[in-house]
Amino acid sequence: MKFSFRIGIYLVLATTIAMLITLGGAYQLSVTEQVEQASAETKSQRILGRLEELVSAREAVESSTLSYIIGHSERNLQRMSENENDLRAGIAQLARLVGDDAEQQRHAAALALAAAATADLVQQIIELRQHQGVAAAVAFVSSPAYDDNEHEFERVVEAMRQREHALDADRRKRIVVRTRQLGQLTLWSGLLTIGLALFAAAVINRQREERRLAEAHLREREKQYRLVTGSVPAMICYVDGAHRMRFHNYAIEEWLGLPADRIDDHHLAEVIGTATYTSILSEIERALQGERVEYEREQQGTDGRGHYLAGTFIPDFDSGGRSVGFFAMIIDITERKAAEKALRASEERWKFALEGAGDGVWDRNIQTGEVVYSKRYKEMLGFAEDEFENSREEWESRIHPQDHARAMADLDAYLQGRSPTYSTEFRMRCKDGSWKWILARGMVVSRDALGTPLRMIGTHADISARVRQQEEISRVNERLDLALQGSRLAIWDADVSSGRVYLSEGWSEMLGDKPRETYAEYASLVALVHPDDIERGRTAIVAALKGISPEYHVEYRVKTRDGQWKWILSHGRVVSRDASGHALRMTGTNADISSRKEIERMKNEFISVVSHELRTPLSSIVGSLGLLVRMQGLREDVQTLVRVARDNSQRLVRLINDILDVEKLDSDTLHIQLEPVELGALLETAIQANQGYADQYGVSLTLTRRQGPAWVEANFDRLMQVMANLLSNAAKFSPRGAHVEVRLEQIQGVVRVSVVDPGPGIPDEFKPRVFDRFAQADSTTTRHRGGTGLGLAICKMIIDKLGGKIDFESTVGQGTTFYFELRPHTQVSQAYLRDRGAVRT
Amino acid sequence: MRRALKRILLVEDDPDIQLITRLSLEVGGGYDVRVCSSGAEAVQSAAAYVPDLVLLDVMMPGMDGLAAMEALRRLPGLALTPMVFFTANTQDQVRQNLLRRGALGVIVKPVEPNALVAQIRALWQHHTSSEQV
Repeated sequence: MKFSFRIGIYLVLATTIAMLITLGGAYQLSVTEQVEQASAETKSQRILGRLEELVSAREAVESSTLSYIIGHSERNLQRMSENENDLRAGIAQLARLVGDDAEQQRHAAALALAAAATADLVQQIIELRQHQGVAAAVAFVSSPAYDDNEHEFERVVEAMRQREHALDADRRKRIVVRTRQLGQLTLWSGLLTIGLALFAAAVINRQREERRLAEAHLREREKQYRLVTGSVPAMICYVDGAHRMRFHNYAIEEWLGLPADRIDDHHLAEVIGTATYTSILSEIERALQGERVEYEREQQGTDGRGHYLAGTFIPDFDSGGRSVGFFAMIIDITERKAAEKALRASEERWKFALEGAGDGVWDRNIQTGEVVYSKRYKEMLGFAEDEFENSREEWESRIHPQDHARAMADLDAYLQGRSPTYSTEFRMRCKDGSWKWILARGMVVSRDALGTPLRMIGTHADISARVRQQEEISRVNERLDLALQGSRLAIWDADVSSGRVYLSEGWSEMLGDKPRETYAEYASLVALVHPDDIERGRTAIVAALKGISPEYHVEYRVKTRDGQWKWILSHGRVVSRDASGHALRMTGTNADISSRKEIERMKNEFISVVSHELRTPLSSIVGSLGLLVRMQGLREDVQTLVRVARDNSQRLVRLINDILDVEKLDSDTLHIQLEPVELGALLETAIQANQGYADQYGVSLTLTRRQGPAWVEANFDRLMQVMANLLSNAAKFSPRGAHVEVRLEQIQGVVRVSVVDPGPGIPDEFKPRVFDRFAQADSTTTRHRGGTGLGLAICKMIIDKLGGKIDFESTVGQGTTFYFELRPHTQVSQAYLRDRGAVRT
Repeated sequence: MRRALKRILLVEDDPDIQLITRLSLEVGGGYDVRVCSSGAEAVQSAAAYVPDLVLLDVMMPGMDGLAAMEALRRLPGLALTPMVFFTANTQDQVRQNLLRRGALGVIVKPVEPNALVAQIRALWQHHTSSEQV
């Protein structure tokens, strides 16, 4: 770049000079031309003047000729002659003046010829005057020849005038053109000069800036150099063959506490002290023999403390290869030594800590393959301290063949940087031949300058118990999966706070998809549910979440992938709550009960049809027998037979009614309409309604109230059904003449209704089966007492649906008390009742 | 003084039940009973008979009990006549539905003649007491 700038400047200068020369030349030429123009103009003026003079001279000749003709004197003749001479002389001068223009020269020659002709004519006139008189001479003067000569002369003069004017005009035009050219030349030259001057200025400025930057850079380099050399922590010096210091840096002065003039050119022993000198003399000698020497020494510093110094002596050879001195570089490594010492102590501590935690420790030199195994490491495998060789081979040979390749690959991956950590699991053979699962972890703690690992330490943990647990968990999970697959159930696990729900593979299958695990939002699951079932499901979930209901149990329809509705039975419970009782997690199962629902529907339809078809003929039988019994005039034995037929047809009706009730209560299709019921009034009605039946057994029914109105939320008809069963049982099993007491009382926040009979009591062995269907203490009782064996089962089902409790107390020989308990109206949880299939009217 | 129950229109397709029910009501209750075998027949004869109470079977061929009740209600003088159903269906929702549609009561078959009369009396008593109110 500098070179081209210089060339540029030279070019600018050369161009400027050439342009100035050209401009000067042009101006020189212009001046010359102007001078020549002035001279030509003068000459032209003279020519024109001369032409005027010639015209006058010819007129003078003519005039003098006329004067001679008239006067005929010698004086006139003489004047004629003088005038002719003047004319000729004038033409001769003119010819000289126009010498550089050929056309004017031709005109001048024509003028000379005309003048010569004029002279001839004048001579003829003279002779005519002289010889023939005035008249002849005058006639000649008037002759065409004379006139022609005159015209010729005037024409030539005029032509010369015009020529001269034309020449002058040409010259002027040329001068104007030249002047304009010169002006343009001057303008462009000016602009070019200004441009070049600006360019040159820019170039010069640039060069000056570069020079300034270069100087600044140099100054910066000098500064850095000073800083680097000043801040080198090492002591650097040069010692010659005579053991004299020849060069040193500031660190040397600082270490020795000596000024520079006490160091250079002084003997080493004098500079560093005899003791120190003696201690390193052998290294000095070796360096001076041409050997590179490295050493470490502990020395007393000027601060009075011991310092570790690491020295390197690099021999200096002359051109002949002889060692003439050496460079010494000495570094204070006291801090590094202290750090290494601390590290060793730290290593001891962590090894101790790891051993304490039950882990074995290994410490491996990667280059040599030597490994140090801790006592615990060896114990873990059942070896004593001296029974396990400290080598990599010892470790490798004990790894299970199936795990060997993976263990090696994991280690290599870590050492080659492909894996950020080293952590692997494998089995190792113990001393007794058994296998233990080991978790090996480790890290490289030392690398060389190129990053190659030098040392690696790590631990071995015995994870056999954990692996066994994992295997057990896997087996359990596998069993669970198989069970789920077999039962076609889907497990769900809901995180209540986030609303996220996990569903096992079965769920997607239920929806008609391929089996896969599902993670869904609660809202997205609700979107699948049939609109008529959403509220029921939500109520059940809320009841479970709030703890009103111990479990979540609901049936609902969901839309499958192909748009069909499928019945799902969802069952679950809250499995964890926070300290304030809020539900955190809920788990359970979903089962596809569509088939069951279909069967249920078919069964309901079947029962409906059967019940109708059975009842219709039975209506005729019951009605006919009822009418017959009341007929008068029948024979006694016929009346007995009719009564038997009527009693058994009534029993058949009860049986059918009970079977249908059980069926309905069982299949959840019976939704009990809830209403506020006052139990006192209900019991009175029940006693009235059943007293007729009790009369058959000679039993009286009485009500004992121990409180005011007792309101419960229940169903009047269903409670009447319960009471009818309990009262008929009590009447049937009481001795004739007995009292059956119906008791209404409030005990511990619940309303209890008891039916107390003084009957034979329930045998202990039958007690567990009292509420079972078709259960009778004595199989003959059913027939004798006219029961169906379903009454108490129905009672239990109804009371359960109402959220209450039914039970009994009985002592053989003393009687039985059946009781049921319901919560008072205000305390009954509506959600709980709905959940159990009871609905408010 | 309460109005007495005299005339009962029985609508029942089964001839046996027709007979027994009629006898039960006539003998046990002393009522005047007019028997029709279908809803259509009941609509035809009711205008002339003008019963105090109608006892209807639910499941009948052609016009079922509910349709017969609605057809009868449209006849002059029968708009407020109490209608009682007589059915073998014991399902609660069936019973509730009949009551919602305006039946005075539902008597479940089979029923003893005495019980039938007792239930009819009770229903009539309930009906007339509400009329007085």
